[in-house]
Amino acid sequence: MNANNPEVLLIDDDRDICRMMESILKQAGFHVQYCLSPERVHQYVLTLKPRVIVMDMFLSGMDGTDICRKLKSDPHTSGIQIIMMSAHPDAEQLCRSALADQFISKPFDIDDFLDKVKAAFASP
Amino acid sequence: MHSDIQPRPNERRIQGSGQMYDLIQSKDWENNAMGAIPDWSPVLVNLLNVLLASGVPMFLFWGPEFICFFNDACLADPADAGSHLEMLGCPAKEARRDLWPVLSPAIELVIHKGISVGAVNQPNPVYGLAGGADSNWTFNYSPVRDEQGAVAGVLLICIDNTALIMGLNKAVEHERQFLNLVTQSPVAMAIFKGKDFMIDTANDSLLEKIWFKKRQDVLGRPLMEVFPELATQIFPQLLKEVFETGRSHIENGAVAYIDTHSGMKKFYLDYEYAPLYNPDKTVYGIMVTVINVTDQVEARQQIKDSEERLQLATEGTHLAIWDLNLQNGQFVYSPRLAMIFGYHGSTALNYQEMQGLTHPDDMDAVVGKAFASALQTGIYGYEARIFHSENGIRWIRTRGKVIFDAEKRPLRMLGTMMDITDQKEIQDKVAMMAAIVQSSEDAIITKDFEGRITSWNNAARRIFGFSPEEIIGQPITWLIPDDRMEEEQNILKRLRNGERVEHFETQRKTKSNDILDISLTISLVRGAGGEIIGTSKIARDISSQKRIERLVSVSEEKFRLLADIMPQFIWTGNPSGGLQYFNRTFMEFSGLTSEQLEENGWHVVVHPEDLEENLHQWKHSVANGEPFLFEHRFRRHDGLYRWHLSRAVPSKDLDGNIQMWVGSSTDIDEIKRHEQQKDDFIKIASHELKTPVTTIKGYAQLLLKTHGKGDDVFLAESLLTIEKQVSKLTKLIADLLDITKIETGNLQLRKEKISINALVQEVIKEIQATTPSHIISLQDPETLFVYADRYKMEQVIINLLTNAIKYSPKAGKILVDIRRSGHEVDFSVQDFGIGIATADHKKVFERFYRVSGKDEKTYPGFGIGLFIVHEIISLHNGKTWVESEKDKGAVFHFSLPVCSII
Repeated sequence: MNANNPEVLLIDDDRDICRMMESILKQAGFHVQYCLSPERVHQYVLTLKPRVIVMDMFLSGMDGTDICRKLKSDPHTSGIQIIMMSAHPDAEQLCRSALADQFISKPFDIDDFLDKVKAAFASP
Repeated sequence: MHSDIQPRPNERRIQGSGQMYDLIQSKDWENNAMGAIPDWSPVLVNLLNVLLASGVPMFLFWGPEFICFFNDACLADPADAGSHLEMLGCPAKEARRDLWPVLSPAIELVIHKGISVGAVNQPNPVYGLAGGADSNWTFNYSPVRDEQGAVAGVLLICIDNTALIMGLNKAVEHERQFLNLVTQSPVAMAIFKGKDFMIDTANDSLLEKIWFKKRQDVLGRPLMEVFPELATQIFPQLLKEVFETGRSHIENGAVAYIDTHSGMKKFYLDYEYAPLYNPDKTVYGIMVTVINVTDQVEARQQIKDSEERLQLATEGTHLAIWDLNLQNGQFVYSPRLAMIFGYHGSTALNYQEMQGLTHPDDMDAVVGKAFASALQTGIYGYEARIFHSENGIRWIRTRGKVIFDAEKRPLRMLGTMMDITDQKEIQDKVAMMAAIVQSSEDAIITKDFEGRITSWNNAARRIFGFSPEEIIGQPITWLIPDDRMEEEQNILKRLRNGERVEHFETQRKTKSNDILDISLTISLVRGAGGEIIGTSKIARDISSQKRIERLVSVSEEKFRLLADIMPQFIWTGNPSGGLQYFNRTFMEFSGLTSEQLEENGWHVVVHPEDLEENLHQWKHSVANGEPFLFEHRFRRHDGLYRWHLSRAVPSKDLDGNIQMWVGSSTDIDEIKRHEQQKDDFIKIASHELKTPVTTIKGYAQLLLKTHGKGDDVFLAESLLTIEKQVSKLTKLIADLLDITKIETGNLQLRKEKISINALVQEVIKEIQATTPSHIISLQDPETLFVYADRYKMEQVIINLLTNAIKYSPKAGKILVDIRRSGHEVDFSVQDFGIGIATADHKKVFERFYRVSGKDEKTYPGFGIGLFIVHEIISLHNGKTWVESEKDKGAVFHFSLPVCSII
């Protein structure tokens, strides 16, 4: 992993949320990149090779759980820790069945958020 | 003697003593025909002296006038002597004129013939002689001669021979009796004399009844000559032995064969051979006495035979015989009687013991009554229960007769006894069967093979109208309608082929020619030997049943019509859950035919995703008889699925048994879609609302982190307020969503074992961080676990605590308590606020309930917090309640089962 590679990749179609999370993570010392367009997720992942992905479930035109399932089923990307997030009431169950490592519901406490990201880095 | 009566002058004087002597001495003979004594003949004086001295009564009649002299012995009765004394010296003719006719013939005879005359065995002729009138006397009249040898007087000597006569009479009697015995007695007798057994005597009895011979043909002939047939029998030998030994031979019941007028016959004889002895003790003959006992023996034989026959008969019938002596209570019985009571035949039972074995209920009422009646009528008879030594209670039948004496006093009772338990049981069974037949609601009829009715019960009478008198003996065709006459033959044919004919539905006609619907069950009636003797028919009048069936069929038609025009699906199922009927609406919707449904079942119509749960729920309802309520999708004929709400309820009979299931399915696709849309909308709405909140909250917290601790107090407080209000907004959105979930039943619980104490402590800590106005103090002496959804429980506790704070603005404390109550955890939150009126205690847990009145505007809110608490606790099988009074604060409780999982 080179220094330019972000350790955390944020995927959400809401730019404000992406920037807010970026601020929080940067403030906590993580290298962060975010992706607003779900079509480019694959490309981002392949290029950036992040250690942790934080992804919203409902992306414009795409379902985050599909991306999650695909990443987890690809041996090249299956090692990436994926934290799914959503404001949708039924989301957690769907995300866990899509093999996401963790789930956090929106809105969240930033301490909880940071705890989950740190936990993702701590896992092998 | 002669010298004594020699006349001597010096002795011519009367000598002696006694009454007659005195009388002779004192008598004035001078004036009597006799002249003075000294002039009397010496013969006379001497004779008188002898006479006077004799104790034997003597009379002397002297001289031509028969002057009477007699002695004292003639004066047997001294009291009466006076009248007889006058006879002395009188002529006999005058002295006893009454006796003279008796005396004179004898006296005349003695005087004229000069011989002695004796009269033997005369009645007492001279009144006054001893022995009285009954005595017997012998009178001896003897001539008395004078000196010249001429008969000068008659001496009468009286000899009392009463005793002699009596002895003689006895001998004569004996003789007579003996003769009778021998000749007339029914006992045959004979006397054989000598070694040749010469027949000396044989009486009529023997001759007529045994020998069948005439007297002249046997007397004086040897026995063996008369009866050659005896040569081969034992009798000659026996006679010989008696003759030689002198010992009697007696035999009873000996068999003898005798040639009678009608050939040889067998006789039974009792006989005795008794030796007859000579004075020198040698045997000269044998007296034979024979009694023909043939009749008795044969009668005895017959009695014996009939006794044996009776014995056999009684053994065969198990009849016991008994004989009760009513005088002394002696009770004699055959062994069978003891056996009837369950004892060995040899057991001795007395009458009292036997009574003791009689059932107490029957003792007086039956036996006592029968006994009393028997003493009156002579006939004894009863049936009663007894205690058998092994087999419990048995029934016996006793029959008897009373024997009375001449004075009508009961002497004995003879009778029989029999165990009739089996008969009784059979009787009871027969009676029971008869009662059943009679009381049956079904007509029970039997007929013979000619088709004639042989029995007819009450129900038959009721159903068909014929009385038994009218119908018995009549052909069964009386009951058969003209168009069904052949049916009977077919039925018989089927029966003979061993087929069963049960509940055969047909028609029969009644007395009034009404046609009835009948259900027939026909069986063959067999005799004791298994041969078929007729048939029995059980006929049930099913006219009303048929009528009901028709009514049912009409109402079913109505039901079908109704069901078919319903827009809903209507279906019915049997008690085990198999569906049998679907209405036309369902057929049209599914596009299936009845045959297809029958073949493939209704499962094919149900959406595959719903089928498993559908079947599960349906089986549960059928098994438990609980109403069925389920939402599922049915496939339309064009392949499109539409949501339906199906309901089914069991239809039960009076006993509560399920008869059928009646179900309906209503198309709720529109409703369902609207609901789904609403649900989706709320989810989307909450999602959409939360998205901006997420950003706001994130920045607020980030800003607080980066700038909250600086000198700018205003900034810090502003950021805090933003964060607090954003949290509130988040919670409101969450509550709205929860309500939707609760309403649609979609609130999912993720239960785990959690420590209620730890959870409460966490929540309190969180709330205290943002709400410093109230001090929340916790009392939790014991750590308790519940099996619950952590997030939902947290929500419950938050709602209760925030409520307590919200409605007690003027108070400074909240008390939280967790304790065990039996198997429950009891959680409570107490505030000291505005309280709740008792009437509102239930309402506070209702949805959208809000505090009313003046406080309404002071305490805004959706009114959903306590509703959510109540629903969540209910889903956890817990309870919620409140204790409160208006203005006196409130204590909110919930209780949950203590978690038993370790």
